[in-house]
Amino acid sequence: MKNLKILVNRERLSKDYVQSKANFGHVLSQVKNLKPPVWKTPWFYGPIAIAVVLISLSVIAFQPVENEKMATLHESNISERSINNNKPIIAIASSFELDTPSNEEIIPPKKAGKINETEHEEIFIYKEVFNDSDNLPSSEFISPKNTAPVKEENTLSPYPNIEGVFTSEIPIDKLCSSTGIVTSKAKVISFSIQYFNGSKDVIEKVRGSSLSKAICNFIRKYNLKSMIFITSIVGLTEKGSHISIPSLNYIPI
Amino acid sequence: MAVNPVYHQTKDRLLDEMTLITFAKKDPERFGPLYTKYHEQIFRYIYQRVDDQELAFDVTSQVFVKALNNLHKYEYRGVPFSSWLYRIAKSELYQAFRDRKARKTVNVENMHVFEMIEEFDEDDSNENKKKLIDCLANLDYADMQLLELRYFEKRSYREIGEILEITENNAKVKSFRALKKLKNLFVK
Repeated sequence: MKNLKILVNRERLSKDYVQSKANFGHVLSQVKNLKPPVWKTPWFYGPIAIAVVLISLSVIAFQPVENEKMATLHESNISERSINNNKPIIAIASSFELDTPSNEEIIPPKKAGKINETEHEEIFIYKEVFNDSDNLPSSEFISPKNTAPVKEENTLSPYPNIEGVFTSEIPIDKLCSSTGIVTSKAKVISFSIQYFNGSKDVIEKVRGSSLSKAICNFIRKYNLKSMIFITSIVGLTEKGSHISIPSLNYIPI
Repeated sequence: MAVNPVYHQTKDRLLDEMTLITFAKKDPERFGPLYTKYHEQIFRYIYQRVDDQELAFDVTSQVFVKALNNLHKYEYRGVPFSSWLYRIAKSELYQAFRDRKARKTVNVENMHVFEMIEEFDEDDSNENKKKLIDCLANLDYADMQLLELRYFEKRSYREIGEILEITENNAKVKSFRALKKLKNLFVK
């Protein structure tokens, strides 16, 4: 048997008896004494409302501080940029000084085929500066060709870009420019690129920040108006640590 | 089959009742006539399903407290006020079964047992009566409830539908199925 009790012929309660038990006054008093549920009282909504107001206020209050921080950061970027424009080599040299302890270490391994031209150029500049490290490096050492102040504009952005293009369509000439991937956070030292080489999609690891001529030729030939992916971008910060930089997607045109 | 006269009312009486409800919404003390009118039938509905008389009176009282407290939500939809009270009673009963560990009870009269045995075309022997009572105890509570409303309390399918919040047709089909289940148990 289940939880069901069967009563057979239970004595029927008389109408008078049932009516005698009716007590509307008691029901009425119970209704009057009934307290509304907690979630319907002002005591429930009051603290919630106060909490919401406080959170909103704190969000509003802290936002200007962040904005100020951003503004300060921007200003410092601008000032850095102006310094770089005046003495770019000094800046690069000083940053490199942090990265490497000696002159020898900055000379790249001689794998000419794999290292692109831009990297060669930059390293050459460093070498030049460090060879005269006893004296303060000055603008005398700077060749106007290498300073490239216009390109520096791109490096101001903390987001990686090539010639100021962050994503989507990019002219093939810009993509294959010697500037390569730049970001204000770090100097790009390697990345992977996925493209179609005529027979299949390949992922190639590239050292340096710009594309090699061979890759550029493949892209020019097979990847126009189709997306290429630049991933696993590794950058070297001023402090000498490696950082991962967000990936890029481009449609060469 | 006899029908519940308090449930089946004329349109005029339903409108009179609606007027009382409108007054009661404004002033709870004017709920008195409705309480007097429905107290007994709600009590009997509850007492039919519980063993303890005091508990039945207590649950009945709770039904009216709840009804009065939620009267502002009540809307007339062409059905008697009692069907709304029955729904509250049903929910309060379930709560009593759950919270107060009240035992689900079914009150059966000899007459009902006799009618059912006749429906199954069986002999009205004591053995068969006992067998039917055992079968009733083994029935699902939902099926038992339908049989109770239809065969023991003699309610119309429409009323059953309104109490159980199902359509009249559904109430008819479900009652028929419940009876068939009982018959299968009985014949086994």
